[in-house]
Amino acid sequence: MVSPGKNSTHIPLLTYILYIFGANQKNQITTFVSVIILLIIIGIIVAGSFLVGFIWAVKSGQYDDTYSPAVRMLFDDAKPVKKKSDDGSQEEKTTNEAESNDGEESLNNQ
Amino acid sequence: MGVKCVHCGEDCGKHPVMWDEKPFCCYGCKTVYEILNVKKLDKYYEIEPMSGIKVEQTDVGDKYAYLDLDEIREKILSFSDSGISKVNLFIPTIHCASCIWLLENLSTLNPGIIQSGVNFPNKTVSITFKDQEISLRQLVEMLVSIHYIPEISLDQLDTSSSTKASRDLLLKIGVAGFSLLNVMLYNFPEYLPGGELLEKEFMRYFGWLSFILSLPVVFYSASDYYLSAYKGLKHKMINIDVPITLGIFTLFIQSTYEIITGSGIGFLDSLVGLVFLLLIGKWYQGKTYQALSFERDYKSYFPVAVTKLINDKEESTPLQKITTGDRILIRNQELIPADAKLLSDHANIDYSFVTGESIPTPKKAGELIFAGGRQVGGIIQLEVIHEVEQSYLTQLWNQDNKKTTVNSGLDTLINKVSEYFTVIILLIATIAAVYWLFNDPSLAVFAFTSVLIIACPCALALTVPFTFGSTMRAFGRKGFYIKNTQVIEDLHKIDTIVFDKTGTLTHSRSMDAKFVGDTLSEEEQIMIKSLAANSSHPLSATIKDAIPSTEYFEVEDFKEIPAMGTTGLVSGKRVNIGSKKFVTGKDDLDVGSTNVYVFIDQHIKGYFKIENRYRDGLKQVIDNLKNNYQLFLLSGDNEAEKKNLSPVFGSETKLFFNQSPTDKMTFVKKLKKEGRKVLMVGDGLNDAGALMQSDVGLTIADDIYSFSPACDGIIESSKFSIIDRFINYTQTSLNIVKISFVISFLYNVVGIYFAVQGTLSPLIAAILMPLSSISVVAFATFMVNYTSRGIGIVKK
Repeated sequence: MVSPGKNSTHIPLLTYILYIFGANQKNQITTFVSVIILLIIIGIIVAGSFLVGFIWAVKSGQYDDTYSPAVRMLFDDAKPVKKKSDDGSQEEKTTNEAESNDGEESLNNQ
Repeated sequence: MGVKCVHCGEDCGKHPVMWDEKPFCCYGCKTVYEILNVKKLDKYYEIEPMSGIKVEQTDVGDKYAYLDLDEIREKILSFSDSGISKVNLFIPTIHCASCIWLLENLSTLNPGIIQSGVNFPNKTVSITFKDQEISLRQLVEMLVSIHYIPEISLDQLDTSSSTKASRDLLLKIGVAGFSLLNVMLYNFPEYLPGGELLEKEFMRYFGWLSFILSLPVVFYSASDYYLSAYKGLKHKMINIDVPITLGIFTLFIQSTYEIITGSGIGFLDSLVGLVFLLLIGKWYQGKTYQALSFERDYKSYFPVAVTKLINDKEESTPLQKITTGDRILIRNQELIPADAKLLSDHANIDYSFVTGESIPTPKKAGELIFAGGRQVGGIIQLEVIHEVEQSYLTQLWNQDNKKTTVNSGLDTLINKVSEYFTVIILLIATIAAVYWLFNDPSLAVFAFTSVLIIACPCALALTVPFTFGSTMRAFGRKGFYIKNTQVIEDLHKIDTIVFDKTGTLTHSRSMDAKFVGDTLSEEEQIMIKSLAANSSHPLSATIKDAIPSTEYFEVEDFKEIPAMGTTGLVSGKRVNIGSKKFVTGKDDLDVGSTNVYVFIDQHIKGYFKIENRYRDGLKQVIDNLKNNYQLFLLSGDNEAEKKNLSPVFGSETKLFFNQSPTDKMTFVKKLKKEGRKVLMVGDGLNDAGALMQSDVGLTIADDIYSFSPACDGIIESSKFSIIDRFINYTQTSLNIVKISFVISFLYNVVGIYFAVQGTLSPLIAAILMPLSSISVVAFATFMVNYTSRGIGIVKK
């Protein structure tokens, strides 16, 4: 257990890491600190965008049926005889479906 | 073994129907293959070979005429605007990848269909189509033509609420997971050696960031727990959500205080982790069988509309508009929706929905026919006596709808435990606070909150969802589907089991036929079989199956006389099979049993005695249950079967015969009044009242997706022989819960040891709380999967 002692003899981890990277001057360490802040901001943005993506996926009903998409994916691959355009429109339709689902649901909710 | 049908995989017999040099078992299957082949959809058979559905009868006639009625159309369509409509149809037979492929390529079959999508777990297909090019009726008839028969009834159309709830839960989990990962990252440096040497600035930043990120978790993700705790307290009971809510709030307030004052970073990582794990547990527990319906009322059985006769003109009319005195037409295989008087000369009513008895009952003109029967044979005319709502069976059903859910959740194990738990924790916290108040007042508040924080019953709350959730899945894999996890605990508590006979203890579709009379030569046997094979009556099918020969003779001059029997010329000789009256001319006085008389070429040869076939393993199941439970048998039939049943049940079991549906219901009610916990095992609509009254109602079903009355669980009929193992397993399941409780208490003891001393650091909390939860979850899940392996193994 770590006891927060005031006169600890531990080498501060950050300083230690920075030392490995050859930073031994104070201004370099300050730069590193601001890099951490930058990283945290980036981190939140990235994680946040994943969250937004997840929320969108749930709301568009992608988690309502987790079985058929896995199967459906294989259909298109195994359809060499069909025309390319058919496949394309098929895909378009599926995305449209997700959107139209959305639209309808808001309609229904109202 | 002959060749297998290309469409459905069934044995084609000796004379397969050939088309395109491929064998089919029947013309129905061939037709579907033809349709798909012409439309270049034969890939259907490549994805999963022989995945088609065999349907006995595809001639729909005007059956779906009601779909042309505007008022019904409006109810069924989920969306309709400017020529484009959308409909969700429930198709219970969706079962494989081929089904998905075909149903999503419906637009190839008819260009009027814009788009179709399958929801596999719900077994629904949503179809968007152009009204001008294809009507709803044509659409449904097209689905029927390829053997995907949608089940249309008025009550299954609102499934949106359940999907919304599951989406809500997923969102909450997502938000909690997002916060958890970030907050953990911010708190992590604190736990590393040297973390305390980080500049104070950082700690403040991280603290505030954690605080902001935990807000949506506390106020959105965990909100259900507050609501449930509030509801519990309102009913004067302490459910498990009360200590959880207490823990969450204490964690949040303590951490907020630390962050604002800058004295520390708080326990927010533990808080967010706790909520995340709890929600995962909830999700795991809540995963139910979406396509199974446990709460049907009579509406899901009855047709949406019936054919009414107005001035001798047929008109499709919605069921609600049928009133007393109306004349209705019922076709072959249609359900009689209301109590009615027969106007036609003869009718053959199959009450298998109601009683589980599949031999149709003959009715004469003027007789009363109860709602719920199914006409077998030609078209009949009826005059409605009671409106749908007032009919005998529907009334029985409506009475019971008043049964409220008051008793649910009141005395569950977890709530009993949490009651003591909450009191004890509050007591310990108070004692610790009082102790420190006198020794070191600065620690008093911290000790108090620490106890509440570390004792937050996360592991405790996860035990039940994971143990029962795993049990529910294990049961499901073995053919026993329960409505929710609560049923497991209810099932464990029962001390009395009531069985229905017909359809529950006996097979509903197959019977035994024993021949009594002169010894039949092999030729005579084949003659009987050949004649029986031409008739559609279930008794003929039974006799056909009872004769082992595989040969058939040509039958000429075949005639089937409703309610009497069949006759025909087989190899030049007259063969009659049917009722005693039909064959011998005398009235059948033996009402206790079903006999089919046989006449071949001037002689009455004897009769086939038709007996119910009991389910395999019945004796064993009863023997195993007899010792631990009080058993009862309620049968709607007469006492003819008593001599067969008494040796099985033994002397201590009471057998009741001639029980009406109301009798059954009052019987179960009476048992419950005596303080018994009753399990009712039934199958038909006549058991519906008793099933609803009982503590646990189980339904035996040949096809789990259709025709089961409202109940708590559905068991596949083939799994009847292991029903006792399912019931016994609930004991194991509960033991696992209890052991898990002990484990989580041990963790709590360790945590409280630190807490009362006022030395609970965020690090201990961050390790102890997830560790206890995860180890309990792992233990419960593993134990259930390990111990439940034996359930499905049939001992020989």
